[in-house]
Amino acid sequence: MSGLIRSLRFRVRRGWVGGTLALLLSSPAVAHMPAVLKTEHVIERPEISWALYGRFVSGDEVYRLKGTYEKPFALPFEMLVPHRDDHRRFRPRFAVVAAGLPEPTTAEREALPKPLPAGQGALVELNDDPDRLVVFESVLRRMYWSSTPIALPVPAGPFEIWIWNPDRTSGDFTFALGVEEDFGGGGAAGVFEDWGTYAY
Amino acid sequence: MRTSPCSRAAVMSLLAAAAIALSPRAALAHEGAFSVGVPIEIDVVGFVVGPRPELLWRPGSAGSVSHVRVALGALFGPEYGYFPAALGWRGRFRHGARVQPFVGAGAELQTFVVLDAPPYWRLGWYLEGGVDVRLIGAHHLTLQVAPDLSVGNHLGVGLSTRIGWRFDLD
Repeated sequence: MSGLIRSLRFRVRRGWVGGTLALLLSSPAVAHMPAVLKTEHVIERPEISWALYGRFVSGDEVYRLKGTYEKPFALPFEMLVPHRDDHRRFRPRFAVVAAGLPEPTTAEREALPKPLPAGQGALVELNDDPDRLVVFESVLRRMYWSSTPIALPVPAGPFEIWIWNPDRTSGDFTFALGVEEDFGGGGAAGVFEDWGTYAY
Repeated sequence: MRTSPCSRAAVMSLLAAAAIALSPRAALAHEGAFSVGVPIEIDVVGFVVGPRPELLWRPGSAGSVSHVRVALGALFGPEYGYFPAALGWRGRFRHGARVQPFVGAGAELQTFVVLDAPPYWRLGWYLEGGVDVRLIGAHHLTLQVAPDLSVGNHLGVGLSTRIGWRFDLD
């Protein structure tokens, strides 16, 4: 887990900062590929690590991420929210949904934003631990509250991740998954074009 | 418009005083071995704002370029408090001139503090550049920019901008 925490060295951009950070992002330090999360989001390469930045505007949104593993794949999942006073009670939840995952408990099933499809299991993170892990993201100097990473073996085949906010309040979040860094295709460069999403 | 001899004398005295205060000789007279600065810093990477007082010591003779810089900061942003402590070298040029450019480099212990977790700290290296603009006597307006790089336990970069006041101690 600490390896993953240390790995939270992602996103950035612009000018000399951009150049330096691009160098850092391509360094041996493990890092997540940053991207802006869409409500309906396809994870094109789920085998690499991602930091997906989303925002609840109305609070009613349910983000749905889709991906497919060619073979069984073990990876950690984590929900991060900015360590700010206005996010102190902001605790988005997520569920990893796939065939072959365990049956959720009754409480977890009731917490889901929609019914679980037949034949599907789920890992449900209720993000309700009173004491939250604090994570320092050192590249962009951000501080986050974490749901604490959960490692999960996901069976081969399609899977979905649902993200929702039971309190229906607005707020920013970053959903992190995976370990293996890969910035191929210039993906990290996009960070520099959207500074306000990833930093201040 | 006619002015009285007293008024003319007063105006001339003020002008003379200003000229002396702004002259290179006057500036050199104020340049002791120590000077203090109180710039306000804004960090562009990780948004924090706060004072970063600094003490400069010139170990050499008057007019020499090299100074030792010691600086402590207390900066605050929406996510954490930032407390950097720096030790470095600063080269100040054009002694006695009204506009004095400077460059510098050094090491910095950077500590990031939140109330519900242990502090995060890392050792970084900074560069700096800027100008001191003499306002009057030993008082200067200081403008600085300082990038930094940390490669230790928490990899990262930073970029600080500072504006404030510096005073040469006699």
